[in-house]
Amino acid sequence: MHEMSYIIRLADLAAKTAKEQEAKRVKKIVVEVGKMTGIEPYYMQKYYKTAIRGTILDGSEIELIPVEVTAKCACGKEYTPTAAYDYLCPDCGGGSCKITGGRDVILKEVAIEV
Amino acid sequence: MSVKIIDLKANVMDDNNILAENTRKRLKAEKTFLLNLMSAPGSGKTTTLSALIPLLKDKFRIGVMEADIDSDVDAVRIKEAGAESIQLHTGGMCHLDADMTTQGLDSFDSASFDLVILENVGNLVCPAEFDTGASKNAMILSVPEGDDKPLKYPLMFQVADVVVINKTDFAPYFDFDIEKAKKNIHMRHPDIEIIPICAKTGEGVDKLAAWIEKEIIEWKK
Repeated sequence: MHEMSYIIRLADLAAKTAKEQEAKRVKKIVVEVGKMTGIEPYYMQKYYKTAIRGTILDGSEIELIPVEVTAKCACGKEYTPTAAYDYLCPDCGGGSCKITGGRDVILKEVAIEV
Repeated sequence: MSVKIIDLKANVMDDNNILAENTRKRLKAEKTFLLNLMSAPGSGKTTTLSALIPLLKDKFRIGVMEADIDSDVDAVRIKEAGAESIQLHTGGMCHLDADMTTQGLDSFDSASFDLVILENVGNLVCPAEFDTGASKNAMILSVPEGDDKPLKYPLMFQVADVVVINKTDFAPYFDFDIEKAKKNIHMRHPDIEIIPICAKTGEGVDKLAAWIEKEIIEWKK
């Protein structure tokens, strides 16, 4: 359900950009979605259509690009946590890692008609 | 008509993260410690607070912000325990963000408290993703939920600064191995402090109070 929070933020940001650029309409927005955000692409697509109704974004598409989770272990190893290793470091088996990627939602680009 | 692609690379959570950081600075200046309390529904957040407040209320001025979808039953219980309390209605939202938290702080003069506890919406997923601006995050894992919870909700255990294991009196009736739970929590968050309590009998709540007191003193420095 937190998808709606993200969608509203994305739509506001995209609409602001479109207005700044004096766009006639918006064709598409491209969004990078980290796999550790708990976001379901299906609901993003569904809510987007509702959220943009009657705005400058009306009729535009949303493209979602999944981004892998990356972590850096205390031992220095950079890896993608997987269930096969219990999400731990595949080199040293440690759990002291920093998540370095895959937790963000990034509005990558907005395609507009001018 | 031509199509133009605007390259943005804008993190949509930037507004939330900036506001959360500003709220933390403000709380630091006000010497108000904000504890964001998270857990699954029914794990005993309000019961824990009811047992905790009497141990801290003579030393600190305490305010509680109760976030719920739509009711005030928890706020009433907190008042009975002896703390100021306000109810934040999230209107269906599954989590609090920095904006809602800041509105709550504004509405009850946060500077007049040493400790404000934000009782987040009962949910182990969404609240972990949104920085509220709190000084520290605490989460409660209750025995009936199972000792494998940290494996299922890794992010919650990563963003927490302390894990409280509640309803320890139930351990014999459930297949809950406290050592296994600790191991699973430390797998997700090495070295994190784990405090087993039974909010109903009060067992261990003094240790949680001591942890909070230590953190308040640190925050006020």
